[in-house]
Amino acid sequence: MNTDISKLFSSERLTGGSLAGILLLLYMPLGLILTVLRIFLGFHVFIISCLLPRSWLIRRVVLRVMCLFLGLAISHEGLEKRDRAAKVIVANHVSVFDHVTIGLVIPSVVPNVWSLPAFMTWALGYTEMGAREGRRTLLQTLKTYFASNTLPITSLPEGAMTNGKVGLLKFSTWPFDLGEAVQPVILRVRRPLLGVNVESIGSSLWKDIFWFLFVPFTHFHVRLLPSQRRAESETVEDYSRRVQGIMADELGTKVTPFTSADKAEYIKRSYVYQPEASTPQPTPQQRTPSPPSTTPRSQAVPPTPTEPTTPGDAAVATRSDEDDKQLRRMVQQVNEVLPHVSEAAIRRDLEKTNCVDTTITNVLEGKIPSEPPETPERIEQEEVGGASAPSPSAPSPSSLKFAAPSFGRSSEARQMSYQERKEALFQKARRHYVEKHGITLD
Amino acid sequence: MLMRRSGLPPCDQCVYVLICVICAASSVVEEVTRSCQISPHFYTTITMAGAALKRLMTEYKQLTLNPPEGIVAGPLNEDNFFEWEATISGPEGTCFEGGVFEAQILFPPDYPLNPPKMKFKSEMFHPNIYADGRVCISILHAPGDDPMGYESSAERWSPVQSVEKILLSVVSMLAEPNDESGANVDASKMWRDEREKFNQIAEGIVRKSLGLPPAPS
Repeated sequence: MNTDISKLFSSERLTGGSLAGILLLLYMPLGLILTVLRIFLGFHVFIISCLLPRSWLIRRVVLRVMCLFLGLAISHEGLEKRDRAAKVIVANHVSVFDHVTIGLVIPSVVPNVWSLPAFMTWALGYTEMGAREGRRTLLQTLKTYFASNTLPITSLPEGAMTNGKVGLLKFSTWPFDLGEAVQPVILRVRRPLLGVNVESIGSSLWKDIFWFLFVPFTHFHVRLLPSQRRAESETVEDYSRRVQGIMADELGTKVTPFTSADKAEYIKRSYVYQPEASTPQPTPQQRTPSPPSTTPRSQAVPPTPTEPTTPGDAAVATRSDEDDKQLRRMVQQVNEVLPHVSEAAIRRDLEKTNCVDTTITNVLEGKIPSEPPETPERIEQEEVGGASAPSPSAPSPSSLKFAAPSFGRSSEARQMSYQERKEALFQKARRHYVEKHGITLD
Repeated sequence: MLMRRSGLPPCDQCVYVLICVICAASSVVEEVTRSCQISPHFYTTITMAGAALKRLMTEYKQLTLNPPEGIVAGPLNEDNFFEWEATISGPEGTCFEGGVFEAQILFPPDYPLNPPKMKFKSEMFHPNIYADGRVCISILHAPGDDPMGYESSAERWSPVQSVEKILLSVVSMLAEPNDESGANVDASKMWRDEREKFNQIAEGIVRKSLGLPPAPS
């Protein structure tokens, strides 16, 4: 990990220095008038975008002109590289209007992968694809969608905004798991003169939109890259990393191992610890931009790589204090979800995967020998179950347990087993009761 | 130009309407922001839901392979992993002995951080179960909200608790009602003062849950 997470995002909205500050002050009255006018214009744009079908050329032309007045100048490059077969567009996330911008260059729909309420989903132009019910439902919905529609979907697999100058966040893998070709698109965003950043850490959606309407204009440059297909031998993970690498190269940025969850964590931390930042407390390590290059590389201990290291993992090979803290935090994250797995086991696996999600999956799939601290758990359960209850007249445990011999691999198998066991429990209880009370059934 | 020709009053009106619209728009915006909590944290929510799913899957697996006595629990339909159903048999040696009760468990998207909600679908008559079936026990309350004001935080919800522990707590609640927290006041009173009558009602509920005709009185 050569990159400091704090450098990935703009910490302040206004970073232009004093000259830009004066300019901004002079511009303020005009900007406010512009904002009000653009709010009204925005309603029109919104209505038009609702009325015209997504695939029409006229919609794009009209909306692009109107967006120009809204302060969204869009230019594009490499449209000839557009691959009709590539049904998934993958872009980096730099602003709240990324999907709008891409939609105006390449007509596409955006699945709602955030748990937004129905109204917001609609208003922001997302399409409900069932991401809330889990990844499998999302993939299923998307596959049925592809079967009947020709419009591609746009995804911003970073999951969180960056300033687009330093590094790309780790991609979530769902866009790559669809079995479709992927068209990487890179977005560059620029706001000249006033020194107003497009994104800033911890800013709300409405603040971001306000600044869009306030500044004279924001220039988006959309660039299409040649579409990518998954190679036979590649895993989804490797595939997403490869695409991420290509995009990072084009952007001139680095690939980072941070995820959107790390960003959320970082935001939380910088909020929580901000007042204490001056006191000598080691916790807000990531706020203080300690250049990792100063940490002696000589003390780095290369872990024993049992898996073939992929380019993304190469950074993990060198370990410093910074990395250690990062690792400890990830261990804690995994442990929160899976309290029954020992920390040592989690740590070992994280050293290999360097990704919380992958490790959790590994645990669930049983790749990690989970050494559960079995005894305390059991004792606790007995306390819960037995301490207050007057111990029921010692029933023979085997007769009352309705355990399945195995945990089904497929959803259907599990469901069947569940229904069977439920039925068995019911029938047994009923028979027992009837016998005990000597009820005659007719 | 237009304004000058139309005179003052309409112009006033225009401004008034404009202000109204802006006010309305801003309040709507504020309202929507608040209700949707569009903040940097909405990104957290997705990762949370992912974590919740994974955690629920592990718990489901554990409950399938090694369930507590007399309990079967799992998602009603795997399309929605956040809604579970639990089948609980009444503990032996109590007035609910022999009954088989169905309950619904609803998990929040940030599950291990916040407790699920539990509600009996079968008819119940119990001091700690509301008339609509909602279960009122301390393990289902996050530390902080304390409707009754007597629970110690030790027995509250925390991410180290699990569905299994909730179900075991429910079984022990069935065995030994806590008549201090009266979710169902009638039942509480009857449990305290007219145990015979309570047992009779419980008997009726048990029979009903098994699909048997009520006992001839």
